[in-house]
Amino acid sequence: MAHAEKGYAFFDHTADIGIKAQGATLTELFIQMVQGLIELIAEDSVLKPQQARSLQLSADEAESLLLTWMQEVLFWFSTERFLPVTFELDEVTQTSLRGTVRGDIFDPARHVQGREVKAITRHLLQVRQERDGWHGQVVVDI
Amino acid sequence: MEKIDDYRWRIPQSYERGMRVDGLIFADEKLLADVQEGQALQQVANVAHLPGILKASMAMPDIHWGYGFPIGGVAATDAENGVVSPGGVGFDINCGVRLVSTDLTVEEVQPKLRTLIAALFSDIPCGVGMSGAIRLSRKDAPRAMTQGSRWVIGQGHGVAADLEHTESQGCLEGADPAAVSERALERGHDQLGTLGSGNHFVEVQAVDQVFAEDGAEVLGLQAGQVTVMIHSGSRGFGYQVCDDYLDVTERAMAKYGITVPDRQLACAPIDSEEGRGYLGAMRCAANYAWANRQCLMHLVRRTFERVFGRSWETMGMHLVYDVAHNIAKFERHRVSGEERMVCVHRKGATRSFPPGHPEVPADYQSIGQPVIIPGDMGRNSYVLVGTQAAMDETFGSCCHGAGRVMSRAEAVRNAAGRSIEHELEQQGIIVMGRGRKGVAEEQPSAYKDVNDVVRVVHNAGLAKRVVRMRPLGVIKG
Repeated sequence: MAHAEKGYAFFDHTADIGIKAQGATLTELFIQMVQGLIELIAEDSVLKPQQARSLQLSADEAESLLLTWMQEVLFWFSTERFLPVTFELDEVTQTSLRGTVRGDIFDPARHVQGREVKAITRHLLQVRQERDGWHGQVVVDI
Repeated sequence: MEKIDDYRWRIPQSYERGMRVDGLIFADEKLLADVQEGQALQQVANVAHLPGILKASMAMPDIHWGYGFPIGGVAATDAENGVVSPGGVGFDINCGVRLVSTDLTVEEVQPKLRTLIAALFSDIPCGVGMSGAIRLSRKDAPRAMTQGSRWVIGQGHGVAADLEHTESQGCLEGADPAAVSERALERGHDQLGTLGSGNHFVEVQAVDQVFAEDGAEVLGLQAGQVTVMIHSGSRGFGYQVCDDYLDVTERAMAKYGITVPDRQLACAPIDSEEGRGYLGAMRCAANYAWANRQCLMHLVRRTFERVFGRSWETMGMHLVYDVAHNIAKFERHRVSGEERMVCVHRKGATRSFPPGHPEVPADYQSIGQPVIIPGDMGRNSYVLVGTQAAMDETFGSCCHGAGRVMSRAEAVRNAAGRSIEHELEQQGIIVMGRGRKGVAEEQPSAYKDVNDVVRVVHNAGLAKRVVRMRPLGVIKG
């Protein structure tokens, strides 16, 4: 299930699904990870940037920040069916993230139904900086 | 790993520094081969690190690689000086199954089967992003959280007899709505009476084999009879409660000087502010899950009424039993010859209480608590009954299903170029699913054969087979 053209890929985990991604910057990594999450939920649904949501998050370190960021996106989806499409993240450090996203309201009648992601787990959670940029992975509970 | 007998394997405490007890795995040689893939056995060893864990970190024959705890894991901790771990219950708090009987025979249902499955598929909200018919207002939410199934029945969706045949009467005492976050409430307010996706389902089945006539008679089940099985849990509400308290317990570990080998095993002393908070919120989610399965059963009864033009009572649609298989409960068990209160974490494991136990419904006292074990959608499901051996050995616990053997991606690759729906239809099973890849990911070969899993628990004495069902039609999210 590798996606050569995308900055993220899925990896096998018996009952659940892993997402791993890389980016030249931490910002890019965080966006790629969320795009992987959105593909799991809505497959290749055509989503448009129609509504905006602003957010400001902080955490003790990069892994917890990635977890918080993905949890926030999942929370939007669970409560409002909102899925982000474009990202304007003004500030992403290892402990804070601030910005605006634009996205669409998922409509089960119109969009492709993927999987119900129950949660972003802490199992195998990783964010690390290497010579070629930032790498991260999470396992989501299906 | 050491072989104890044909169905028991030990990971000795000496395997890894920090293990407080042995690991104990119930499996035969065939199932053990599946278990050795992935990291399930390492996870059994990891759980053995939990402070206050008693006897052993146990795994049932449907064990597979989970996150933190293995799926199919049982861990009991000392109620006074042990810990409680949100990961030992999982995100889907009180995910479970209920079995509904009918007086209908396969011959009566078969001509209308396609209509029935299509009607269930349209009446029961399932899949991604669906809302339920019952919305929880701010006023009602605490009632659903503290009363569980009873609240739903009070709204007219069921009868008092349903409570008698639900584990813990569909309500855990000690639920504390004040311990539940605003976010959990927001995720839960429109999800009562929704199935979800993944491995959740509603299945119309036929009893195809009776192993114990007396037990089957007490349960009102006989060969050729149609039953309905419902598998769902606490939906977004429970997932959020787990998330919230993984944060809380992770922070608590530093405070109480606890270390565990995996972040997902975060835990807090039972007797601490954080532990009490989790238990109060977890019970709210457990009650929400029972309320949800009660709503789903109500929808199933209504659909049968519409399709067959008769009331559910005249079709004998009684609740046989409802079990939780992701839960933490306080129970009295004998440990080293002494009876004590313990906190039993069942993460993909079913309670299996013996005949005569006070928590077994009055009409099932002679046979023991029904243990409902769903299989995959192409093979079988089972009803077993609990045993004294389970009480003595596994804190009254047994397996919960078939257990996955193939990852989701592997299952999709395996199904490439095939139509799983068509293959099942050729076996006479109608499957309707919402998600594009859902049916492929949940195909029968992605699971162990439930017959093998059940044979192990039966032969090991953890529960006794009563009847087996085969699927006629399934709806999936």
